[in-house]
Amino acid sequence: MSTDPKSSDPLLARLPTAYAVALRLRAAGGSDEAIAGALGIDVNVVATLLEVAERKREVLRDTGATGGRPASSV
Amino acid sequence: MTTSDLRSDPLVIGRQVELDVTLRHVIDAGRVLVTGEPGIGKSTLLDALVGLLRAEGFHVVRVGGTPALVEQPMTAIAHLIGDPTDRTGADLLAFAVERLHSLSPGSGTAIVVDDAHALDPWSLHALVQACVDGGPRLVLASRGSEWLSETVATVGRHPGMTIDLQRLSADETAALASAVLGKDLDTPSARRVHQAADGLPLAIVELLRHASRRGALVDRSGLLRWDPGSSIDPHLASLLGLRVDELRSIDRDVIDILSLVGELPVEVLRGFAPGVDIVGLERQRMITAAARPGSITVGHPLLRDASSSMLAPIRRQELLGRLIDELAGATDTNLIRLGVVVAVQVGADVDPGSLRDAVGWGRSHGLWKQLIAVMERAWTQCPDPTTGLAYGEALYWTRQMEHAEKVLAEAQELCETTSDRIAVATARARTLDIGLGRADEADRLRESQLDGLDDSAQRLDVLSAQAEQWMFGGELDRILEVHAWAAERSLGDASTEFMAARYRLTQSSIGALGLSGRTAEMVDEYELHLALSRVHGSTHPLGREIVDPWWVACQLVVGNLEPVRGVLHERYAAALAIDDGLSRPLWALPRAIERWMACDLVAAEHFAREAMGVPVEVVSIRRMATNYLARILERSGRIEEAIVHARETAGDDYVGIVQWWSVGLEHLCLASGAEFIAPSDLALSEQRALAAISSSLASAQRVPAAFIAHDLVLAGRAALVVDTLEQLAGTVDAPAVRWIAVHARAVVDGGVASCGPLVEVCEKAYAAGCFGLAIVFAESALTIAVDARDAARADEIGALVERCRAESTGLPVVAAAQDLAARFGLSAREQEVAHAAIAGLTDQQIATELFISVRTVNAHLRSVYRKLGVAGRRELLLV
Repeated sequence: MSTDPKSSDPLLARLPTAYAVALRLRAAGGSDEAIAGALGIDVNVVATLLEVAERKREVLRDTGATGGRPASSV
Repeated sequence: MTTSDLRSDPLVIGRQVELDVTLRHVIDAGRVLVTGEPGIGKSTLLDALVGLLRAEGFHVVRVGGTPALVEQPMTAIAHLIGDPTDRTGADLLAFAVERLHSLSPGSGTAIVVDDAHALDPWSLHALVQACVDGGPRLVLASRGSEWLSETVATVGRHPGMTIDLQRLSADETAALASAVLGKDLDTPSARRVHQAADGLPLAIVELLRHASRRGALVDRSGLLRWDPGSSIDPHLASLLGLRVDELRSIDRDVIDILSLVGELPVEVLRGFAPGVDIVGLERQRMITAAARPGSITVGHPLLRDASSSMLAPIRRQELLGRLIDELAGATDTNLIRLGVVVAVQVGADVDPGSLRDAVGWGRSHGLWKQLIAVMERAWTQCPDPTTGLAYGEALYWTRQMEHAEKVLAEAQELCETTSDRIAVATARARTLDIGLGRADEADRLRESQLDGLDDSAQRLDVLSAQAEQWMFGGELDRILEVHAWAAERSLGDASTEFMAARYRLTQSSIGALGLSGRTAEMVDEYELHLALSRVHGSTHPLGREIVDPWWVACQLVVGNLEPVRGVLHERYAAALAIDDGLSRPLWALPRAIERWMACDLVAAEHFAREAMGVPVEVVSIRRMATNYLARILERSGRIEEAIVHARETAGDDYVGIVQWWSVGLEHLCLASGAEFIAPSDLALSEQRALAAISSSLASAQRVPAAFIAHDLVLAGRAALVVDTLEQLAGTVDAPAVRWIAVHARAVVDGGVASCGPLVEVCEKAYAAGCFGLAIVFAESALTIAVDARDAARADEIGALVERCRAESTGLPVVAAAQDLAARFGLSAREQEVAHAAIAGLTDQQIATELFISVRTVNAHLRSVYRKLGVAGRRELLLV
């Protein structure tokens, strides 16, 4: 797995870092404990964190934007 | 505002998904805990959630978030979910709890509590209890931290849910910036803001507003951009309260690294930023510096607190990697040690000598949490007793008890010298006893250490550790025996080792001497403690904090309120400002005792419950708080609650605690396994009380014996104990005991002649601030005068009773004043004046208290009388 949590999936790159890391670790087969350890959070929080992360990624996917705001400098 | 407006509110930018998930869970499952670091937007999320819940048809009760509601949450709830009419004080609180319990999910009520970490434990407990198992919906917002109370954490567990708010992404920062500024930022500017504020919403908003006011943002083709000529540094420096050169000296990454490593000694920080007055900066901006003298952290609170966030581990590798390179060339010893810490964290090789040195340094500074990884590495690479001891202690203080016991047992096997054996065995016994509840094994281990031990310093070391346990078991005579032996030996052995062991004995000795009524010796022991602490001060940061509240508590128990009252109020007020989860509950204990002595049961209960919040390791304070809470509940007429509380919290030590302090006659029956006996059935209670007195006297606990005897006096059995009390009064140095001996004698003798001495001790108790005892004495004197048909004397004493009652104030008076304010529309100032008048202050005293003139006080009072329709101060008390 890449050491950069946001390297491959462009949608992940637009998520808050903690959510991106949690999703990548889960995709790589990481347990709740591993995710909690990596993020320094209570293991009870992991399920909700992943749920929120998934929903945020879906929102990004549904909006269809890959660049996104803010607008580029002109 | 529509639900759509709520969801698009700029302040919930980036939080729509969290809001949806939270809302759905509140509706479906009932309980949600929202956590996150300061500035992450918990309150904002709650505001939006409240609006959405109302739109769903819920009746929402929101408390917390403002100081008044945090201080009086149950009062607020009482008004929000019911009509408390003329209830005040304890009645009002009971009403709030009763109403909460009567609500069900079907009632469509949701209780939303902000800043739950700041609520008093009693209110929090009552709220959570009312909202489990079919109660109303509950949403708590609290800072997530290692001190998150178990009560709060329970709310977030299944079927509840914990939602931990995260920092914003770069895109979300840009969206928030647009919402705040009313225009989009260009990409490079948005990235700069995101980096500078590290994704923390509050910091983003503050930084943008500051930059906008100072003209650092310019409009260019419809987009805002950061003016290329305006560095972001001055704005960030201003936000952090630093000068720009200071900001540059204290590199942000270094701040983060220091925060990751935790609190560090001042000299280490000076090593990093030699040109910066770190202590001066801390004094200006930080309150935490006061919490741990000699050890501080750097940075704006928003950024510093963020160090514990989940971003920290992610940045750690990069940041620490850079730092270790910098530290590799350091010449300063402490910087080299820090380098070792960093190296261990990034997994680099470290030589055993450097590891050992860092472990020793960490142990002597009590840096358990910060250096636990270093200790683990040292223990793995080069196991020896010293390293094992340090690692075991670190595990103990971070509450990994099973692991601590395993490491210490292994370290014990490696010990070759007697001093090593004693040190490791002492730590292991403490872990077994306090950490794992295996007291028998701990006792055997301690006893085995004494066999064949001739060296007086080593012997005292072992005995000092045992003394702590004896104190909680009520075996004060054994502590006093060690104390006497140590005092005698110290004449011949003043070696450093002996005095270090003597220092450790002082905490137990202070308690034992105080509870034996040897107050003057207790004062000497405290002074010895202070003198020795300069040389042998505790290695653990908690250790330094415990003795002062313990000493003040002992002084209060024997009736010496006046000498320590100033210290108590000052230190408690300081503790309120320190959110470290420890100072406040520690100082709440003496406050509870002080309020107990003043007969102010509502406030006493409030503080006692707060004191119960100390970490489990702080056994002395926790057990004394347990005991006082049981006494307070009993005196409030809540006998069964008192018993349940004592049973739940005291566990196996229940008998010892009850006999030690005498929480009440019924409790004594229960402790001995007898069935619960109603207060009216005195015969058996009497026997138990007499047995407890005799047991307490046999173990040198004269002050508790006197309090148990006083229980019998109050129960109408003064004749049984008057001789004992008089003997005690002649042998103990405790004002409270002398007063209650006079009380017992007056009750036994009766007749108007007894009133004189009783009024005299009443005045003494009153002057010492023991209003609770003063009321008891005055009421007895009044009864005697009425029985003797001496009307003039009865009138005189009646006035005294009233004066004592007026002093017995606290929360009920505050509640009464607030209640009046709500009912009659008093202004804030009028409320303050009314509060003071109800509390019995004269016009002059009120003027001094509120920094206003007597004339102004009179004007406010006239206005209060007019609004309330009363003729004067006396009628005000009757409203």
